[in-house]
Amino acid sequence: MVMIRESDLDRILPQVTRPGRYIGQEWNSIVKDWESTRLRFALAYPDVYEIGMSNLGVMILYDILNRRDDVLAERAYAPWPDMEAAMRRESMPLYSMETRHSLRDFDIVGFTLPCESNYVNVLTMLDLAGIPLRFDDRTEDDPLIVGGGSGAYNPEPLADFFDLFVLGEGEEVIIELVDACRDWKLSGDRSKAGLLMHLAAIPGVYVPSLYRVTLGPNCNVAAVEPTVPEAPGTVLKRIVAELPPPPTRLLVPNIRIVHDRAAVEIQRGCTQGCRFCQAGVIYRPVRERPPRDVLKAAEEILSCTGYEEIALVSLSSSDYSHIEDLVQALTDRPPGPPVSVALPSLRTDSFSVGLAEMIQRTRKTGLTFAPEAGSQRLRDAINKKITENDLMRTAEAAYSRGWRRIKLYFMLGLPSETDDDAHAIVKLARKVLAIGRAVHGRKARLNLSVATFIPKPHTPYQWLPMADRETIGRRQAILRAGLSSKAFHISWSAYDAALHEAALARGDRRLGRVIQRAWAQGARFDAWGEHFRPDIWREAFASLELDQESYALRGRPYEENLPWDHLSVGVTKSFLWDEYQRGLSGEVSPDCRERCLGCGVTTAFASQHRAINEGVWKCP
Amino acid sequence: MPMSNPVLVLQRLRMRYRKESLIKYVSHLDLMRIWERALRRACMPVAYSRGFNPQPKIVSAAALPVGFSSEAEVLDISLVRPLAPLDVLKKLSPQLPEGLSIMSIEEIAITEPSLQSRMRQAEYRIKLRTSSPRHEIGERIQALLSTESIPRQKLRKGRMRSYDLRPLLDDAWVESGWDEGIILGMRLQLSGQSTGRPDDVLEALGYSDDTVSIRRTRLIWDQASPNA
Repeated sequence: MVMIRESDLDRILPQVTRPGRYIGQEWNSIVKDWESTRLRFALAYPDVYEIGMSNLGVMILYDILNRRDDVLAERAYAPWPDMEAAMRRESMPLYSMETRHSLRDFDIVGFTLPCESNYVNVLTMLDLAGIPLRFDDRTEDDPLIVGGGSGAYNPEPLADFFDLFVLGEGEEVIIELVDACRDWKLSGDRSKAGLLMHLAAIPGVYVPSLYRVTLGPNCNVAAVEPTVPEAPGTVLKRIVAELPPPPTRLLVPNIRIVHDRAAVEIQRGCTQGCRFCQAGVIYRPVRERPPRDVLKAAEEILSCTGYEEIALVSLSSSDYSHIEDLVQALTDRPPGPPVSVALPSLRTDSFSVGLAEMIQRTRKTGLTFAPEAGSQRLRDAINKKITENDLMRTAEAAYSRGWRRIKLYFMLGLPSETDDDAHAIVKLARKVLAIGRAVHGRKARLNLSVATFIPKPHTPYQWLPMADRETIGRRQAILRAGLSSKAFHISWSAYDAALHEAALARGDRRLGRVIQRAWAQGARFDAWGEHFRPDIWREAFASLELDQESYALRGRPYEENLPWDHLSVGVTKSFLWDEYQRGLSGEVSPDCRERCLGCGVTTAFASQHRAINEGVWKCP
Repeated sequence: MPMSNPVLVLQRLRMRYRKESLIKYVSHLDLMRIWERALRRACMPVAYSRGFNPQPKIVSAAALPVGFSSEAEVLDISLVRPLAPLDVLKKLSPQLPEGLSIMSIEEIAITEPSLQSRMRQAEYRIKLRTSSPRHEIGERIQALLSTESIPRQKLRKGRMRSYDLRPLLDDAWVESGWDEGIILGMRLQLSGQSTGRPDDVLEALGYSDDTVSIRRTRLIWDQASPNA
């Protein structure tokens, strides 16, 4: 057992940037007695502290696990490269924030996987803790390595490194997992194979080593079949029928983090049905948290954290049924120290501008909307249900109510997009700015954030290729030429970064070797522009005779078995395909609060749907 | 929102506190946020500035560099409702993260000028891990103190700037020994105009690599009221 002492940290922290990342001791952190607690769970996040600490999912699991007397949960984050180097110099293992034990000393290390671009950091964390990277190199004495989160819906590229993945929402299944591990620990059965077999029977648990994957010739998968009866042919994600009370004793960091504020999740899922959006599919069905519960939680959080800002978190806050009442209640709090309210992810309409005005009693810095595409034709195709008129009215409302800067999100490389659609972004942006200029003159600003579209698993576009480099470059040039005025500020995502994310997102088990090689060659923090090394990844793919571009840019026929087909989010493949087809013909699908489109979720989770009160799910 | 009328401050408190153990790796700005949140958790009626971005009226006497511990920090807090200092101490102390501890709280006059404007010097205690004998270290210090100037370079806002460390160093001495070396003391200038850093002195002495810890032990400010 290894425990890092304060004096050990005193030797290395003076050498690294932002040493406050590595000290723990956050307010509300829970330190339990190591020796007397039966099961030790490390919640690991493969990104830097400031990002990991902002993740609400980790907070939820931390709260649930630590409520159990027989379990302790501690956190760990990926060390920044300077800290990694310092730790290696001093032979210091990766340690947990609470009691500073090596991650290797835990029974379970559970990684929250937010997205594909930080997969390599998982390897850094395992390696720094002295845990063998590959599951088949680990023994009963190593911790069980578990993955989950929104980046685990196609975990195949990580199958070499994890013992199991948990699909879907963790609130209930994490307790089942912990119970099963505790029982195994008590049973005296020391075989890991036995444990995995036992765990595979838990709904939502996917044990990759219990499946035989038949690979196809190109980057495709011919078949995936379970090899034992305990492993289901298709693993269905887990959901909670109703949102349980949210955690309120939130950790308060000692240093500034990305979302340095209190947060309450008001709604899970989104009914908009944008065809490019993975979150809109994987978080179904939509469940709202009753406003009374939100307000109660908000007051508790504010009083036990001391935060000066509270965010109402969801994928689309304007859609929450009682959003105005909720915002009103939070802004009308009794006298005392000022508390501001944040509403991430607002819809593009003047209702949302009104909401923004309610909360933005202070400085009017910027307001963000996401039209995603420039032309009505393309917005219809991707089911982004806003018209040019909506956007103009929104811009008018925002600029005239005092905002001088608006930010718009767009994507390039959307299915069926042509150069004309890029020109349409230019036209649209100019029109929006003209509205701003009418109000603020030369001081009006318009920021554009232009991402490269990545067709993700479990979406209507999962079969489609990502746009090639030349196409994206040409359309970016159209925007650059058309929006050269200083009033516009455009930020881009780098094509290489998008290509990398796409290849991993759509990858299969062959990519495990690629990830390991790239990591060994020094790939770290791929989501961070300053660290991302596309050359390392190109070399890693090539050295294993795999083609990165094929993974990202190859369209797949409907009949083809996709690497993630054995993992289900409850939405049928035929629904996704139909949505794709409807998009091709420009047919808009309604918000599913209005009419059920039959995505399959109410069938897949029929018993939970029946068991709860009408109206809790926003499925008509 | 009206911006003109000033916030009514009904009481000012001066708090002395320690910053020790790992929390010393938290920067000054981050520390001020820690104080704000602790005061909120303790339900203290802290005065906030008006305007676009309300800020709590808590003012630190002198920022402490990241990595230094201290037994001499001072924070002035303005309240909109008067409270017994002892009551504040009792309510605030349990809300502090490990490593921060309040030594005393006293009331000061509302008209009292800010401490920042009256800061003059600070003293530090430095632990060195070294096998050099005590007299040798003493001689090196004396040699440094007897020079007219100590020209040094410093990276500031991305540019290398030259400055003279000598006028910022008021005194230095060998304080005592410990198991693995020597403990030094230093007094340096600390004011809005010029601030000397003990780590720069240690570098000039050639003891940078031997430094185990640096601790601020005293803040020295003008006691006389400017109106007196």
